[in-house]
Amino acid sequence: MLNKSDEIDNKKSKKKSQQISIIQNSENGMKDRNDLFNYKTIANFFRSKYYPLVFQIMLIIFLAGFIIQGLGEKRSDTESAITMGLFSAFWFLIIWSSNVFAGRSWCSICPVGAIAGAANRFNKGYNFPRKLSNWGLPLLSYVLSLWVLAMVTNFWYSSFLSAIWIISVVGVAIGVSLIYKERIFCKYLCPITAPLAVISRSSPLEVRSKTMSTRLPRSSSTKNNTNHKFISLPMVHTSTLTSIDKYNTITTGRNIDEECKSCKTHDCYKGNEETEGCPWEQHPATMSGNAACSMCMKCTHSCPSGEPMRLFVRKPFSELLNIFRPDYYEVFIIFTLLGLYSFYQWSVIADDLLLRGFHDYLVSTTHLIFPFLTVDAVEEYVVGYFAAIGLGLGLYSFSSLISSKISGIRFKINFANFGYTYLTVFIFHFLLTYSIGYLDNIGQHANIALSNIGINLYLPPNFIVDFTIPAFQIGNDVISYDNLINGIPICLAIPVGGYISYKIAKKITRSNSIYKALIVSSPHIILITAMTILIMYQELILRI
Amino acid sequence: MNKSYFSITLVTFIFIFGSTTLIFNINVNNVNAEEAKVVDWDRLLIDEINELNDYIEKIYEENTNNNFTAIRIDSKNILLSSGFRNISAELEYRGNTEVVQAFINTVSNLTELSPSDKEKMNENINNLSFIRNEMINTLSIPDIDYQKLIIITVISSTIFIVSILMIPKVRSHHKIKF
Repeated sequence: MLNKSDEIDNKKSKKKSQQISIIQNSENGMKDRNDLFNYKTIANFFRSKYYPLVFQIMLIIFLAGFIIQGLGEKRSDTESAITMGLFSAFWFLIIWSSNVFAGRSWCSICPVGAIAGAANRFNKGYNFPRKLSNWGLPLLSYVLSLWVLAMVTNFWYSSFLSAIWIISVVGVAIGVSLIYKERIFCKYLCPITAPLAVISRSSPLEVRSKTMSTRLPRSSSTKNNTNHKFISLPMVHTSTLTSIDKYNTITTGRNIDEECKSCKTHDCYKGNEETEGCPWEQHPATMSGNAACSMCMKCTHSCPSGEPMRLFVRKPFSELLNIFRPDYYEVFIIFTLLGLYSFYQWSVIADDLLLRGFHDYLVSTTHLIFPFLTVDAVEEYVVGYFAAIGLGLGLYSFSSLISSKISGIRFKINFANFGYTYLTVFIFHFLLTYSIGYLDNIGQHANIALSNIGINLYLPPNFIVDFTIPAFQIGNDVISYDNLINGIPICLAIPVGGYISYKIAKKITRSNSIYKALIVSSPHIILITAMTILIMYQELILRI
Repeated sequence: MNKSYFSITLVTFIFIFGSTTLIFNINVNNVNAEEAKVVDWDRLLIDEINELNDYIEKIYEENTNNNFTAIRIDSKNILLSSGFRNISAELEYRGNTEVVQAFINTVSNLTELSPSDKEKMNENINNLSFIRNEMINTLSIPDIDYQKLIIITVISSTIFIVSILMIPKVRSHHKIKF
């Protein structure tokens, strides 16, 4: 019989040998099944020079159609193509769902990004202020230009205002691109860049050089130092990356590909005569995160040999275990998303479970502070969304404080590292609620889309599948499939989030002790479990 | 064949095909001008059907509460509503006058029934939702406005193809990296 430590040693050596075999196979020219560029059709598709262009043009035509319709719309706002397109069909079904499964691939085909990219060719050459080059600005842009603006104007329910909004976004994109070098608008000012960056970290796809893949082990010399070094800026400005020496010193804990090391032109980064380099100013050879990779494949187009940059499949959420330069702004973004999409009914839950009349009291009191807003706006936005963000951040800070006291590691490091685990709560709730649950309305969207191209028909909103059908009954309460879809998958957040917390605790404590890691991560595991249970309550009980 | 010749031929073909079909379609409509009806209602019926559903649901509730006065008022309102006007216009345009007539008859019956005719009332209300479903089934069959479809397809596909062909050439001609 093997004892426990032998078993653990066996498992470790097995894992190591698997990882070594991945590297050896790639070195020996054997096909790695997780490298999608080993499949000819996929490689040809992404390496084609027409790859983002075809989609970009198609989407620019769509966007132009939406704007023209929005400005001259005679129909009601519920029948409008622009409100349906911008804030429903594209928003949830295409942009965010693709974000979860394929990183920021939307950014490579985004029509606003394409227009900004075209304008950027004629830029005045100014550098964007270094102080603003962080995730704080994107977060501000997301909250102000979407949620605060919606609170004041309700623009996403009005076709005319939606058209004006998207025209303004395009205008700002062109203006910023004409002034500054690089894709500053896409990086820091796009209204949705902040959530896209954070969610893309959980995606099972990545564009990396052969040795930087998330699946491979980090080199032992740098393994223990990676997270010890806390750098607050996630996206490094051009000036820091122009010299080769500098980029070689920035370590992700992985070895740079030999071919990239010996490369003297760095075309993937700088571009060459024919093809531009990485438009996001990331050096592909050292890139280890999805947050600022739009998967535009420019690096594969411009690399002279075209070999080192690959499209890999990896385990979902695996990047969260090895975030290079964890950043507290990203944690703010994660809790903003949780507040806006998952936890906005917190006061109703409190009212239902503990304090009768709490919700109404809170709304009326808050309305006294914001008398210029309507009661509905105060209830939905201030008490619902914005207070939920504050509450979530407060609870998280508290559990980080406890965790840092237990581990003896600085609060800032604790706060920045563990925040990523809460992404699992958001994704497991959001994914089905807003994407598959969207099928409930697909008939309505099909009616609008088809009527605009001359095909007139009426399909019931849930003509594909009706999730409102009762699944079972508990006492007098009827639980529908809709309730189950919204309330059950979130359970996965507990094991997955818990595991990620445990792994992060193990890494930041630099200890092999399972118990120590469990104790350090326990405040976060408890908070994740509590949040998950409350969201389940919200979806299964409050929705009935 | 040279690639650029092929592209030019393709674009020309699409233009010729599109415009011929368009002209043919307009002419056919003009020839049959007497038969052709002017569509002066919104053919997208989402709001209209929602309004109708709301009325029918309301009538159901009023029937369970035995509120016959409210049923009579709502029944009259259905027939006067702009939503029903658009739905009936669309159904008549598609040649389904029987369904419209059946619906009008049922609603008219509701306006005339007295509280003593509870059974007839129930029967008519059930009929109402049955006819509503029939109407929705009829409307779920697509009716294609070929003229609009062709115009949109031709314009957007032309812009698309021209852009795909032109942008790389303009970029390489002006030495703009892409």
